[in-house]
Parts: sequence; structure tokens; C-alpha cells
Amino acid sequence: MAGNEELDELVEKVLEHAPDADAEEVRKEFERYRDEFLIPPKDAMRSVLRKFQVAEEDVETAARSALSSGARAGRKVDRFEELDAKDTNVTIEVSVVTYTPRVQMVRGEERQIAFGWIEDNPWGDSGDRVRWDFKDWGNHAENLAPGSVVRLEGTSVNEWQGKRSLNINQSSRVAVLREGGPSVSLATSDPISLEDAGAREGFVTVVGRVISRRDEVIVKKDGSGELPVVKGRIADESGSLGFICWAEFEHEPGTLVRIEGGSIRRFRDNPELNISDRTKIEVFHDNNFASAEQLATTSMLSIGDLRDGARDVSLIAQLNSWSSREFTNADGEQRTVWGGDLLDPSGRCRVSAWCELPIDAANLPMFVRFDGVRVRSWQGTPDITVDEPEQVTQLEEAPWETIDAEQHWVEYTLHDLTSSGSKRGIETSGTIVAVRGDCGIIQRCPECRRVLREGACAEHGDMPGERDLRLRFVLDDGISCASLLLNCESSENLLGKTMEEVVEVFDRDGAETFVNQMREQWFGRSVVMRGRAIVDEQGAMLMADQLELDNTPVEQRSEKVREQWGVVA
Amino acid sequence: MSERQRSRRQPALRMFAREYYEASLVEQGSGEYDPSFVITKLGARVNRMCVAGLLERMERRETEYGTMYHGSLRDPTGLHMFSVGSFQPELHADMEELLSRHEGNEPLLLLAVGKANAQMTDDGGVFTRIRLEEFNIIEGEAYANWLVDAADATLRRIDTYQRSRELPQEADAYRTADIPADLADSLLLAGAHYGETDPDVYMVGVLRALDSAEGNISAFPDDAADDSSGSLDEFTVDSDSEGASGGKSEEDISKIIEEHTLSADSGDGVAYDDLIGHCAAHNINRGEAEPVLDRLVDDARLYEHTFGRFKHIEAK
Repeated sequence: MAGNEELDELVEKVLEHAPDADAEEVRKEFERYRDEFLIPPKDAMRSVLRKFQVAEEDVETAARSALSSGARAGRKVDRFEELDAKDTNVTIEVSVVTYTPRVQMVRGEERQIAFGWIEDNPWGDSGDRVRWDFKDWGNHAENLAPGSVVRLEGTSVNEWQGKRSLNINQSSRVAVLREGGPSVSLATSDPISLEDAGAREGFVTVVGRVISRRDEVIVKKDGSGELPVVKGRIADESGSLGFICWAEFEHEPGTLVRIEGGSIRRFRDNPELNISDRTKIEVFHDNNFASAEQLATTSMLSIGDLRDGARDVSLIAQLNSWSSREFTNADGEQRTVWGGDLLDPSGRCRVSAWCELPIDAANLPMFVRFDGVRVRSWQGTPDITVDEPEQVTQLEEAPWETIDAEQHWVEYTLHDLTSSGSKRGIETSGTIVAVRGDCGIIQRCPECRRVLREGACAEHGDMPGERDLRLRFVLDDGISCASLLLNCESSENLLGKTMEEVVEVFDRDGAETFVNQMREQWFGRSVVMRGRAIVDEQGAMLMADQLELDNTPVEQRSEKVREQWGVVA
Repeated sequence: MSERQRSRRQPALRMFAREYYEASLVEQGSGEYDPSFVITKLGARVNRMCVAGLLERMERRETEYGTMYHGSLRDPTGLHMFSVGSFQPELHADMEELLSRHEGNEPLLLLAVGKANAQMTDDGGVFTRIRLEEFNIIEGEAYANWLVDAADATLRRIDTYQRSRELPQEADAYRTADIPADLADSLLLAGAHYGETDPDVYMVGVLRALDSAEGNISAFPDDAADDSSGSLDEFTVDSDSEGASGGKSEEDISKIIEEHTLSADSGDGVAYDDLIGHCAAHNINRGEAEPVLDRLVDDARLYEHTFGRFKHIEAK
């Protein structure tokens, strides 16, 4: 924080140019920039001058004179002790000791600032250095790696409660004189749980046990060669996280490691811990840490947890169907792919296998354990892909009572659905708050299935359309909303009419009448839908297999609300 | 906000009339396509809302821009004002039908979804209403479901509001205390704008609504709204006492304003919006209330002790 004296001085400067302004107001404005937008007062000078009606042509000169007078312009010093509390535009060479970025929420937006230690006299005897705090307002992370020696230009001294520190501003320049260690920086070196790490972006420190590792080679896209990497998974009691190591990784499964400065990146929807040669990995000793056997269960995912792009996934599921399909790939080869439906208490998904598995369809349903498989999205929801027969084990003992696939829908609130990943086999409820005007009979492009607009496809131009039936609503629970779609089959079920019958109604009464009838029947109704949810950056889309009115009696709803919020009747 | 998030549809908040008409904080989106919001005293950030109630007033107005429709829906806490603009011709036929059925004294329960719309009045007040998007005529059971949903949503906001009062008023503290993300930022803004709020006034509405939904219409003695609608599944409306806002004499209106100015004053007077809102809850529209308010000020029964806030001469 800028010291009070500095602020007083800046307020005075503004008043010199805007004599009618109220000193307290000016001060507040500086404080607002500082506290709400994290703009140091000096950087806010121009904006404040403008705010208090200083003519545009005077702003620049006023700001310059204000910012340079009182401080000796462009001071170059060797030692911190030479600096005065009010010095600005300071140039000094320092050694960076620590650099800790911190993300602060400012009006709903994430802003990155950083603080740390710097030492003067970087070329001299390390015993003869003075250490100061600094604050980086200008995102100079790349050039302020711990261990490096840098020349700072345009910084300013800040004094608060008698303690001096250096502000590295947005306008400051940082010249690296000697490279330091990793230019990556740690938000914190205190380890966090893998569950927390997976929810973040950027640098993290974690402690976990290696539960799988394998060597892989990545072929560079530009054809410049191959890159050896190590992929695997680490786990702690909170969960597990896939990792990819671009450097050496000599730790075998079972080893407990501390990984400092790994970075979380997302591959599709899936968080992954990236380990580079700048990440510190060391064997960690903690006798109380969960054993590999114990972690085998926590690292086991359930279907509801699957995210597109995840690798090295282990899970146990009930296999309900199994079939194969032959096709010719782009290279003209005959290939076979096997596939089936999986269920567990948390949901359902599909599995496809690129190798033959010892599965006898006559014994279905059966329980299967998958290890090291990958997750890919198909039609928007995450499915499992098996590459090797060793990844699949048939279980002798049933982990749960056989689930009836017909009746298996996992209930989620609409809000939970829209804020998590895509899923099959879900049930949710809400109110229909919109009936779209394009409900009913539509014409699709025979090439790409896009809806034709006035007989033309956006991709293929004029086309003889293929008739299709669909219904489109918006489902809303007051906190979140999602598009709700019914395909031809689900629409037929809902309407109790075949598509041909709907076409008849459509041709006789017109589209508008049909939509109005749908609105009268469904708008504002509480409904329950079952089907799948596809969630992406655009929002959530629900594909309903079934849709019905929520017939929970109102007394029961009311009772539930009273209970939840402790409101007695 | 990224391009994509901007295009995301906003959820429809369930809200009783009182919470909405007492709101006076508007958050304007900065970009052309950014949604704007009305922030209520309980911290709800409203862009779209889902409301329901008895159609109590319905009128067509010819303006220089074309035909508009104005209406109001009564729920257990007061009136939701809605409008249909001249730029929404797709709704005009429906509005004409509503108008004629309303004029034929047919009681109509409506469930409506629309956009929050706040207008500045000449004197700097904020007048909130709903721009209708889609609606349906519903029966008692669907209305009862809405009452429960709106009660649930309001209770969630009251609960969150109360928890937030015990925290330092900053985003970090809210996050640590698990204040829901849809309310956190707007609660901070609401706190700065409205100061302390007494959530009990909204609790009264919730209790009334739950009782109504359960069929106990008479559990609350009617102090404000003349909800003579009877039980929901066979609701009948005394259309004489309902629709006719002009039924009240100027004397009645002065009495209502004076009483409210006395009873709602917690030392700092009563806000203009509050007064008008209170009148609206008594079927008195702004056009009727304003001249009376002016006269009361002229007669020195009330005085405007700070801008936009009225005190009664007999107030302590």
C-alpha cells in the first residue's frame, strides 16, 4: 500500500491543478484506484487528474511534473540505503530472492500481483546485502525469477509504518542481467491437496504417491522429431491427478514425492500436472501417508467424475452390453471396434475397445475393472477407451447389486449439472421458462443434418430437406438454466403422436399454432427430465430421453422448503 | 467476461413483488451486449425473472413509439408491474386477448418470464418493472408451485444475507464462508448501496406464500393486500375491490401514506420508492400517489428531510 505521506503529496499535486476539487474526494479517488483496481496512486495520477476536470492538454504535463518533482528524477543507486522514502523512478540492480504471485479478486475479475524479497549489492559479497520487500504491480513474473540478478528501472520507494519497500510498477522496466533458477514461480510452496490442485490453474506444490508411470514418445506436430515424456498418475487421500513429465522422472509407482512448482494445465476438460525441468521433485517421507493399496481406492474414479481428456483412469463398472463393429479407416484398413454400455451408482457411459477382450456377451451384465484407460468424449459426453487387453479385468465379486439399466438415472440439481462435466444417465428437474419458436417439424440437410433455413443449408446451400421432429425448451431452476432438447423419438413419446401425425397437424394448423399449443401445455410447468447433459463454454444442453410433469404434491414441496430453511408451519 | 459467457442465457430468478419493487440499485453492463441487472436488498442479481400472480391491472397505451401494454400481477407481497413494448409485436395479440378477458372481469392467474427493467424517475428514484418475454395462464396448482419456488429462493437469499452480515464485507471472506457465487458480488454491492436491511419484511412474504400454497389463505390477517381470492383451486375474485384502483379516495390515500411514513421510519425517514411501492401494494398507482404526497408536503404533514426521504411531522 502506498504510504499516507505519498498520498497526501499526490492529493496536493492534483489540487494544484484542480483548485476547486475537494481534497477528501481526491484522496478517496486515489484510494479507490488502489483498493478496488490495485492501481498504485502514481499510476492513477492521470486518471485522477482527468476525473477532477483538469483539461486534457494539461494532464500530461501536470502528471509529469507531479510525479517527478519532490523525487529526483531517474535516480540510479547501488544500495537501498541511498534511497529516500519519496524516491520515484529509481534504477537499481538487485538479486531476486523470492517471487510469490497472488491472485486477487477485484470486482469479479482475477488480477495477478506479486510480492517477494530482493537484495541489493547483487555482485558483491552475499554477507553484505540488504533485503527489502517488493511488490510487483506489473506482472513482471517472467523476468523476476528467484535467483536471477536484474536491473530495475522506474521503480518507486514505498514507506509504510516505518518500513520501506520497492514498488515495481506497470511502467517499470526489468532487465535480466543474470538468469536465475526456474522462471516459473510458485503461488505457494506449501503443498495443497490433489483435489484442490485439480481445481486450479497455474503453479502448485503437491505431495502424492506415484500410482502409475509409463514412458511415452510425443511426435512433434511440426515434424521436427520426437519428444520422450513420462505420463502417469499420482494420488493422495483427496483423489488423484494425471501428470505428464517433460523431463526425467525416475520415481517408480509406490514412491511418495513432493512436486514443487508443477503447473496445472487442462487437456480438454481434464486437469493435468505438468512437470518440467524447472519443477522440483523430491522423494518425500511421511509414514502416515496413505499406502499405495489404500490409494488404489481413492484413485479409482466413478463414472460421474469422468472428464474428457483424462488418462490413466481406473474404475469399476457394470458392463451391460457388448458388441463389435467393423469399418474401414482413412488408410483403407479394415478395423474392428468393440463397444458396450457401462453403469455404476454415479451414472452411465460407453466403453469402446480397440482390441478384442475376453468378454462373453451371454454372461452380461458383468462387473469389470479398468486400469490405465483414457477418456474421450463422444457426442459430448465422456466415454472410456481401452487400448490393451491388460487394462481390463473381470471381477469375481459384485461391488454392488446389479443395477437395472432401464431404471438407472442419477439425480442432480440443475445447478450442479451446469457447473460440472457432461454426463449420461442423469435426472434433473426445473421449470420450463421458454418454449422455442422452432419446436415441431423441421427440415434437415441430408448431408450434415443441419437445420435448413428457407430450404438452404448453411454449409451445402439449397437442399431437398429431410423431415425431422424436435422440441426445444429452456429448463431453469432459478440459479441456472439449460437448453432442453427432445429428439424425434422423445418428442413422439411426449406428444403421444408419431411424426407423421405431427406433420399432419403442422400442415393443417401451421407452425405457430403448434408452438402456441406447446407453450400452453408446457410453459411454466415444473418438469423432471432424464437423459444426458452436455456442458461446454456455451452453457449446458440437456438431451431428454424422457420428460414428464413433476407431480410432487405441493404440500410435499412446501414441507421440504420449510424443513430445509427451518421455517415452521 | 469473455465473449462466450456474455452470450449465455441468464437464469430466471423466482422473486416476490416486494423484494423487486424495493430494489433501486442498477448494474449496467459496460458493453453493448452485456446484460444489465437490478440488485435487490437481499443481494439477488436480477436480469431475468420468473413471477406469477393474479392479473390485477391491464391496459393498452398508445405512445409516440407505438402501442404498449402495462399490467400488474399480485402475489402475496404486492404487485409486479410488467410491460410489453411496441417493439414486441409478437406479444400484442396475446395482450389484446388478456385485456379483453380482464375487462370482462375474468380472473386470470399468470406465470410470466421477463427481463428486469429499471427506469430512472425525474426525481432520481428508480422504478423497477418487468419486460415480458413469455407467459402462460395457469391454474391454482401451478401458482402454488411457483409460490413454493419463490419462497425457497427468497429463503435462500435471506439465509445467505444473514450469514454475510457476520463476515468482513469483502470478496475473500465471502468465498471462504461459501457464500454462493451467484450472490456474493451483488451482496457486497447491495450492502454498500442500501446499508443494513431487515430481512424480516421478506420473511413475512415467504410465510404468507407458503401458507397460501398449502391452502391456508386466512392464516395471516390481511394487513395490506386485499387478497380476497379464497383458496387456490377454486379461486374467485371480487373484481370490484381488486381491479379498481380508483376506488380509494384521496383521504384514504393520505392515510395510507401518512401511516406508512410513520411506521416505516427507522430514524432516517422513508424513501420515496418505498412510499410509492407501499402505495402500489395498496392498489394505488404512482399517478394517484404522487399528487397526494405533494399535497401532504404542501400541508406540512410530511417533509423531505433529505433528498428523496420523507419524514412525518409527528415522527420522533
